[in-house]
This record gives sequence, structure tokens and C-alpha cells, in this order.
Amino acid sequence: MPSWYAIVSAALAVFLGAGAVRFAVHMLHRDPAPAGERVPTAPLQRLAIAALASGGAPALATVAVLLYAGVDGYDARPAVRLLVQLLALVTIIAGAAPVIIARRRAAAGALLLDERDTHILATAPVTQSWLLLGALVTWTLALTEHYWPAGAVPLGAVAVMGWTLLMLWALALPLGIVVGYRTR
Amino acid sequence: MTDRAPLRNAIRRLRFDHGEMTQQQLADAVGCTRQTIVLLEQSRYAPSLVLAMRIARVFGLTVDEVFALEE
Repeated sequence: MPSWYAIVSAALAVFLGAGAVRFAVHMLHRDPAPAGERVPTAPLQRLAIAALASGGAPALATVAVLLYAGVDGYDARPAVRLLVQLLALVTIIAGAAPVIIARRRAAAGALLLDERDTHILATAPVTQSWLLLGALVTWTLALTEHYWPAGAVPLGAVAVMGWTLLMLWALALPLGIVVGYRTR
Repeated sequence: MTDRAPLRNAIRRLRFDHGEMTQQQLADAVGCTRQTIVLLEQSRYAPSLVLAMRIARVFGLTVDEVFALEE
């Protein structure tokens, strides 16, 4: 008989998963423009896509390294720790820099951000917050359930959680901007 | 992008009546991106009052002569 905690965790995971699938289906089925007229890409939108592409590659590499080495590998092997930390830093810089550059260039008058761009930029942190919240809940549930019998969470697992949340923070803002251009 | 803003407008016709002004020229004149002009013409974006007034001024008209609420 599963514990009440496992049942609640599973229900929450199903709820979050269903929400993510519903959102993905909704986004895929949106018509970006009526037939015959293509909507041009806005400068901020291009920067956000560039941030996702340049930050997404090292993020995927980080995930691949972590899947290959595991938390035990991260704990035991300094080379794995160094590689993950380097890739995570590259992800954070590549994901966050274009948005910072866009804000600075707009303030200097070198990049046009109109009222719609400004609104999208201002509301992108909502997407970022929801993604971070979802990731934090997932990590908390996973660590609690996995390490409950041991009575303690290894330092490596906590470090991996921290790095992945930081990478998600950096990538979720440009993702929020891209989503904003699709929905507003 | 919003599915449909409750505003219709005559921007596309007015552009052509004003020397076949391009979307980019109008965007430059009012200080917005061409994407916003495209979405406005498709009634998929409701502009702020300031942007609506800037657009109307480019065509030498009032806001209600350019924009109207959809009934």
C-alpha cells in the first residue's frame, strides 16, 4: 500500500505533467498568422531565440553529463564536477546575456523596443517563475522520495539541484519572451 | 499573439492612400516594430492610446477615424 505522501506526490506530478502537455498542445496549435502574410520577427524576439539556442546547447550537454555520470559521479569525480560547473556557467551566461544586452541597448537607443516588446519583456518573468516553481517542486519531491530511507540527501544531489535551477532561471527568461511573442 | 483584438482599423487602406507607405515606414514614423504594425493590421493587437494617437497623427486623422470598436 503506497503512503499518502507517495499518492499526493504522484497526483501532483500528474497535475504538473498534464499542465505542461496542455500548454505545449495549445502553443503548437496556435495560428501564428493568417495565410498569406508572414509576421516578421521582432529584434527582441531574435535575441531571445539566440539566447535559447546558445544557452540550450550547453544545458543539454550538462544534462547528458549528469545522466551519464549520475549524482554519485558528481560527488566522487572532481573532473565531472568541474565539467558540470563550467557547462552550467556557460549556460547561465549564454542564456541571460542577450536579455541584459537588449535592455542596455534599448536604454542607449540602439535597439527598438516598442510598447508590445516592453510588455512582453515585463511579463516574461511570470513564465520564468512558473517554470522555476515546477522544477523546485519536482526536485523536492524527487530528493525526498529517493533519499527518505537513507535519512539524508548527499551534497552532490543538492549541488546538482542548485546548478540545474540556476540554468533553468537563465533559460526561462528568453523562453518566456519567445512564449510572449506567441501569446500576446 | 492575441487571437483577435476587439478593434478594427483602416491602417492598411490608409497606408496605400498615403503614397503606398510601407509597414516599415509607418513603424519608423510611430516608433514601433514592423511586427506590431502587421499585428495591428490583422486586428490581432490592441494598441495603447499613445500608439493609436501617433498612428492617427501620421495619417492626419483622429483616433476614431482610424480605429473603431468591433460591434
